[in-house]
Amino acid sequence: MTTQAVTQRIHRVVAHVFGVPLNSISDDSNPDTIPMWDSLSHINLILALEAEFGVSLTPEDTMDMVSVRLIRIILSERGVVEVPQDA
Amino acid sequence: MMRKPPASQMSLTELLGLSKLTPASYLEAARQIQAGALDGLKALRVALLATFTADPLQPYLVVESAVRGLLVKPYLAPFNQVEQQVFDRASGLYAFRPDVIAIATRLEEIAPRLLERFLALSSQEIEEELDRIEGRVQRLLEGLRQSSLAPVLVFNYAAPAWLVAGVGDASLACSQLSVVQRVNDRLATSCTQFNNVAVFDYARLVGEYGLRRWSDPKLWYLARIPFGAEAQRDVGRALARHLRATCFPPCKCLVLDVDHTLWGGVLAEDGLQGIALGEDYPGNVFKEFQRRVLSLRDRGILLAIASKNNEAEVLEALQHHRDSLLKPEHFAAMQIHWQDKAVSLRAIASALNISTDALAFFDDSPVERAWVRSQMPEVTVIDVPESPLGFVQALEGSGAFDQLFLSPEDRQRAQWYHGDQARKRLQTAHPSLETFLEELEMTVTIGEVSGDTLPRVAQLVAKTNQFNLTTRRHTAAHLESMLDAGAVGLWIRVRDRFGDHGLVGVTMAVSQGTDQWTIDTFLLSCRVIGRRIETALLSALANAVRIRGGKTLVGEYLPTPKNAPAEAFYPIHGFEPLETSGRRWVWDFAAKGTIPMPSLVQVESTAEVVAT
Repeated sequence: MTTQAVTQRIHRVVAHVFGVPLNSISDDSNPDTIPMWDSLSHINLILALEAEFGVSLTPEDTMDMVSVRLIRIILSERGVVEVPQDA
Repeated sequence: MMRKPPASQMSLTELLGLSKLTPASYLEAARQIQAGALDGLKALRVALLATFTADPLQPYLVVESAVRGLLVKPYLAPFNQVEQQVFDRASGLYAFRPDVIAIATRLEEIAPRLLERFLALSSQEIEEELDRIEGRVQRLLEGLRQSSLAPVLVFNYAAPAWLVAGVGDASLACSQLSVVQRVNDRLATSCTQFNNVAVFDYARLVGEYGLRRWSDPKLWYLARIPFGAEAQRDVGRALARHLRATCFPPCKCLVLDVDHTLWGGVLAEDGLQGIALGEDYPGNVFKEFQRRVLSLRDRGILLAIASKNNEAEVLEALQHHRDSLLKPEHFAAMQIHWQDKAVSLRAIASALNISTDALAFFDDSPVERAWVRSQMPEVTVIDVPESPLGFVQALEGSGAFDQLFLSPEDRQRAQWYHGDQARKRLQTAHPSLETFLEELEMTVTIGEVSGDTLPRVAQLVAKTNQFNLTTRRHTAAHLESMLDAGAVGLWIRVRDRFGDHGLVGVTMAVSQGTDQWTIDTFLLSCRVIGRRIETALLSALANAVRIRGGKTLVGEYLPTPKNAPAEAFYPIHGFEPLETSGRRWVWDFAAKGTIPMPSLVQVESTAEVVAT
């Protein structure tokens, strides 16, 4: 089994949480581009990310994760990094 | 009331094709279900009024309800608008025309003084708080009933996350925890005054999961959500179970397989002595499962067997296996033959004069389960895990027998079996060991070691460490040769009001061809030490030796790092020292007579070993 790229996994979580097609998600996706992304579903997103990556996010992380790019950056600060495919 | 539709027969993973149940997969699944992905669900409009943000429950509620045959359409009243919604006949709540209404309040919101200022309150003020909470609940329910006849679920109150008196709470004359319990007791009483109003046991749910892990602080501080992700799932699941119980009647009959269900192994191959059922692993797992099954019967659930087996063998096992708690008379119907199990289930329903949709089917074989599902979609087929360690959870967690209101008949039945008196007696303190032992209502059976008990005897000889006077690890073969050479070997079984402990003690005495006998082995399983059972076994042994012409009985204590509990055994029973080492002790029948049988133990014996 190959390790799935972190970015791909983030995209899949975002798509599931907001119910939008996977191919519509990009690094630039944010509450302005995804209408479903409101304050309550943002909480769902945070919980889904915690479960997917097995991390615990702080209130500050939660408030800062307002785009797919920021999610990726903050997750990497929390130790979620790309694992090389041949590792 | 209608019966459950076919979709309730599918597990969540089957239903949604999910391999992992994550928050994201619940959200995705809830979306699919609400878009109509599943057929045959009963639509149910559920209104939830809460003093906190309850929205995250939605996906869990929708998915867990779908698994139970319900298509839930939720209505979440605006945050902390409980009274506003209930007392305004034009509110969104009534416009929604709910089929079920859930009211979720927390002490943090409705009685903060009880949580934060508890120690500053006089007992008078505490009573006033209790009255106030009760009055508020009653007014809410009266208000609801003026506009809706829908079933109502009222959340009760979890223990405070932090007790104001800290470690001192439990010792308070009126502890904070006991006050929360009183609030819950009074809530339950209030609910009974209204038709179709049930308590939703939120307190229990929090306890099952763990109070300390229940909330995720960031969710509370950012969004006033009082539970973390897994707690949301648990609340959604429990609510779904309650919703199912409001819509569908409970199953009336539990149909059980026998092999690898009521016992481990295969009866036809392993034989009566070879199946796993007893006090040790893995037999104790199956015995516990039998205990749970019996408790369902006490609740009024009929039991039946559908097994592919030889009928006579199964009946013999139930009747004669010492550790089978389930006896043939516990079963209202039996279908034991080699035919199709769907045929068996139909025959059982017909014999009991109930419809097949009132059957719940518990079988370890996935093949049989799939077959019954395909042939009889109306039957509740319980998902049985591979490991028997999960059987009780599967049975209890299935919700197949869930009933929000036990009828007077049900309750009477429960009292008939368990007895209010017994419960009251359990609540009384045991002021002395004597009283405690008396109330245990112990009965011991003592018999001579022979072929059918030898395996268990050898097992005890091999593993007993604490109450073991000599720790001689004889093999079964060696024990047998000792018996052949004239040794006395006795076993003891114990049962008390709490159940059967099985065969728990062994003793062997040998003579050296003289009238002096020596206790070669004396041991007792540690779970029954200190109940005079050792005295009963010693008394029986002494008597057996005397009957065989013994004049003296010598007991030895051989110390090991573990057997200190047995050290004073012989002197306590009046044996005289044979030497100064404290290792060898003697009982002289001519001088001392018999060793008395303890009065608190009732003895049934299969051997001529009890002193008269």
